[in-house]
Amino acid sequence: MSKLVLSKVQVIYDAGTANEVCALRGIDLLIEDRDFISVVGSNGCGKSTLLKVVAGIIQPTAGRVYIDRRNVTELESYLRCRSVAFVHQNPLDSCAMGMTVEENLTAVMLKGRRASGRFAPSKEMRMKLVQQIEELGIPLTNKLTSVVKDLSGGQKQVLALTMAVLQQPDILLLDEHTASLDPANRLMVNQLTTKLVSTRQLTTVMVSHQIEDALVTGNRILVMNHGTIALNADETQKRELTKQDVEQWIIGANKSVSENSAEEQWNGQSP
Amino acid sequence: MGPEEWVPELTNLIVVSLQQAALFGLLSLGLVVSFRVARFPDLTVDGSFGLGAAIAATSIHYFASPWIGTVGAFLGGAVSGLLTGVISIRLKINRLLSGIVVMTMLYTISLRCMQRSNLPLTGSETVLSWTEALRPAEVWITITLGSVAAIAYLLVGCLLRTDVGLHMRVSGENPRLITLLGRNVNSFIFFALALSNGLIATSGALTAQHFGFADVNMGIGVLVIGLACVYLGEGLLKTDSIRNLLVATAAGSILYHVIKNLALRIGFAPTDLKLVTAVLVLVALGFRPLRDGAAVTDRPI
Repeated sequence: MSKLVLSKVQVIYDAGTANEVCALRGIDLLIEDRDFISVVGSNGCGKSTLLKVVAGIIQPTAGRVYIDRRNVTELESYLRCRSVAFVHQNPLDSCAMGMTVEENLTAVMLKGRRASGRFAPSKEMRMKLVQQIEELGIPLTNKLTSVVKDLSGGQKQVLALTMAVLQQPDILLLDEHTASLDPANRLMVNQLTTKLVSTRQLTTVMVSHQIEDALVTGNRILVMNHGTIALNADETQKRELTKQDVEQWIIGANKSVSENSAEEQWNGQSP
Repeated sequence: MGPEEWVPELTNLIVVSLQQAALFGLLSLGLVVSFRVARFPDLTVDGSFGLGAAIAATSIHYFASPWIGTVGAFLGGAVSGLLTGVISIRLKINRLLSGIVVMTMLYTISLRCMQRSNLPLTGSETVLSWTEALRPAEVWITITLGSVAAIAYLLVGCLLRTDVGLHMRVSGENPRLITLLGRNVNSFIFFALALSNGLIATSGALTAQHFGFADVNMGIGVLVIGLACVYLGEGLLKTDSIRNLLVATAAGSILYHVIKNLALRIGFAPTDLKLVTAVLVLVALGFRPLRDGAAVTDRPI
């Protein structure tokens, strides 16, 4: 069953002004349950816009978004987010910096629960929290009482990722979540991502600037260009792709956009 | 000057400072909720403090019901806070401007409520009247006001440690995160503003009853006094958790009023106090970069 369906999604920024930008030109996309899709493309190709449309942070100008066959296009962002988790590039956006790790994780554990007026974190919740973190093998058990802004960059992003995964979302969205990390931490967070996603069996869309990362993580790869999908490779196709191939798709498609309309490009290049 | 002269004088100064710190401690507590927890720079304060005093005084003067007046002050303040929230969120007007607009409205409303600019309460029954029978009266008033403030701090502290409080803090720290957690950030801002201004109006109501009058100009400048207390506390103590933040605020309130009364004692006129307060704010704020180093740049108001 398709977990996430985008149907003819179009996003135009600053419509009707001189700065009008068409960020997404009629995107059609099917994502199956437990798919892990990596999205690559050059700057301004609409990768991040795509994620924000799924998360409901941006309303599409046209088209529809379905999650679990439910049309969520018109749903307010905070209601949509009940089934979606989002990790930003900058942990500043994903965590509450002035609060402790434990408080951040507690806020996540309370997702979807009604306000009770009870103390949070309660003893029971604390135990459950530590247990879950240990089960997942997340290196934060000795940092629970630290304030987030005192953590290192890698630890902050580990926390952001953990917070997203603990929500057990229908769809996990990762927006270049390793882009601001040094190589060692990038590797660590990438490995943790793969591990967490497979343990929790999450449906995931990851936007990445690193073609290598995109090729080794996930089962599908999506190359975007000028607001359209240039390549939509499934598991078998992806295995044969090399870094050079992907680069060719990113650059090669650049040319065709000026010559063909988005519609033609889509028809001509979809597998 | 011998000890038999300055000991009672010092005791008196401390007792008076504690009373005022307790009264204005509710105000600082309200400011912590809006400025620190919800990170909403709410300027309704001067208006809601005056409104609280006006509602209490009206209720006492015209209807002889101090308790209804004090509770009514809290509710009136809460409604003003909600109004500021609605104006800023629903009408999408700048937060500072929303507060200023409501503050201006409340001045007129307070005047209409009292039907004159000054209402004396001397001889009327207030919520503090029962302390008059006890001796020594000053000490009992201090204990009463101190207990009221302590209970308010305790209740707010407990509230901030519940799930609702946790979400309120997250919505102040990172509104995007609270949205990602599937909760409506606006509802927490409304709640914080209502609570904050309710506390501030209660502070106004108790101040009017303690000093025995309500004046329509009573609220003017109390925002800066409250901020001075908060900043002094933050300059003195760590504020990395809710408990530390509330303890620091209480300590800041006491310190501010001791300094203020000392200033009066060494010869400043009551009319000079606004300048003294403003200078204290500057000192407390200017001290922070020296203490923390230049690296810490992003500070809320």
